[in-house]
Amino acid sequence: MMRTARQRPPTGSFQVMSWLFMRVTGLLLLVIAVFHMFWMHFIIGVEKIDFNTIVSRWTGPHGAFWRLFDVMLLTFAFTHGINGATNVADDYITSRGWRVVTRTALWILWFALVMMGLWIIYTFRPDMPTPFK
Amino acid sequence: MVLHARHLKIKRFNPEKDTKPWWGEYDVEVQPTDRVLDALHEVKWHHDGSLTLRRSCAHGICGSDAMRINGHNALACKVLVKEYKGTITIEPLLGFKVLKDLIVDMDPFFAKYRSVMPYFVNDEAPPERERLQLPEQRDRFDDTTKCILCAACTTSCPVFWSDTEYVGPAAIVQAHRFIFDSRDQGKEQRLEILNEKSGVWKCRTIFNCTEACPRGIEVTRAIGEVKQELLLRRF
Amino acid sequence: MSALGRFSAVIAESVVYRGREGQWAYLVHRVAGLGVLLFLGLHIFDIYLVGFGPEVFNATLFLYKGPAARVLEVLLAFGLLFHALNGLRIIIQDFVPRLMRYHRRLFWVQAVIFSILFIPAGTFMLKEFFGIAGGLLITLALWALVPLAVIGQYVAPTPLTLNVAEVGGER
Repeated sequence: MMRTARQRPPTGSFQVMSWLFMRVTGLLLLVIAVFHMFWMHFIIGVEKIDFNTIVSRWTGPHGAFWRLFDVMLLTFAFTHGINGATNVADDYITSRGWRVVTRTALWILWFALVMMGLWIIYTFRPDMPTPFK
Repeated sequence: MVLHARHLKIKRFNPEKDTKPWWGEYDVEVQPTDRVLDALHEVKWHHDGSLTLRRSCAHGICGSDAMRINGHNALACKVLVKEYKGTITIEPLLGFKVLKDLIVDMDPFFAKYRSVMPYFVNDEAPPERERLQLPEQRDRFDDTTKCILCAACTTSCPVFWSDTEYVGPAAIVQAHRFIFDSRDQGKEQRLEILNEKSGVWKCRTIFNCTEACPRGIEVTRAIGEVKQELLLRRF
Repeated sequence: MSALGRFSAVIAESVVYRGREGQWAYLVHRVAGLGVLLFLGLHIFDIYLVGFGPEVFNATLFLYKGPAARVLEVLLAFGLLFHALNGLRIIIQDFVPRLMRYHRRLFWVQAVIFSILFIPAGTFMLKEFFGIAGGLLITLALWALVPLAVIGQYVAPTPLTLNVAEVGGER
């Protein structure tokens, strides 16, 4: 049953901040994600991308710029996406328990992939030791 | 008086007899300028008296005959049969339990309506005469005073279909009517209620509610104004 | 009902319920967002593999090469561009609610901008394997999704009547 107005505990600011976050990152992504797609698919071309593309992007004269660009793209896009996915999941999952499970799973996935991405952007060297060398 | 034959397809369901809904098909003689409600009366009075529907004033004010007509929520008393080509398909509102035929259980709808404190709140002693307000102050919430609680908006909302915890467009419209009333003092409490997880943030600006409102209320805009108020309050 | 069942029921209801531009924009926005997120997860993982050296990374890139991958690439461009422009429309409406009166018109403005950007882009992406004409044809087939779905709402004499009343009946 619905609680009446006066019994409700004061609510936090998570909902409004999440809503605002989606709009702010959405506007930023409108520029950087669309630019990224344009750059990689029209200027470079997917068929031509290989290991050397990454080497020249991250270690070339504008390496610092591209690494910063990629950090922003990675964190904004994936956080925007995972937060959106939790909103979508909440729309269709009605049980409180399963909501917590999905939410937790999605944010663990977020943490793992963002960490993987940040790690490679920060530490990449063309001659870095690999398990297969 | 020129009568035309029209084919009606009505979703029927009697929980005492049926395990699942079935289509009742009826041919009725109506005038093109008759309302869909008149066609339903024709069925109930002359074809099948067991057809069950709600209607009261039959003039678009009481809000009891909202239903899905050709897939779109409308008041049966506010749409004419000539507005529809071919078969007219009539179904109960989506998202509520069907009690019988076109009647759905509106209790959860009114529970949500009551949850937003849809009444005037002002603890100050009333003045000698009425509480005054400028015309501009009245205009601020004029649109949302038109709501007749027919549930056409709430049951057209895809978010409501999937998450029945969502307070829904109609309740937010009612809250908007008081939140933006200069004489009212319950604004903060109502905003707190709508700031909850099941409140305005569930709205995805789909505009089905605005399209469905038989009173022409800009429902999505009203929800947007509440969101904006909540946002401004934080900064 | 399971979440997946609920999701498919709402998709079915959205087909049955005759919403207008806003409903279709919402459906495509949602599916496109999830699709782009799925690709993003894969993309982060494949970039992570550059740490394993050129052999491993270059071998992984077979995923993105060839004619089938080009078609998926156009699908990605569709999703990203539609989600971006539709998101911009939502943001504009959110911050200037009085513009919501013109929501249908705003949708069509957005649809025109989308078409101007997407049709040449898709054709360009596909021309290597399918030629200009073939690329344009495939692009148009994808592009038609949005306008046809919306126009269908206007011209269809009666809506599809899938039997999803049980969904409403259960609650």
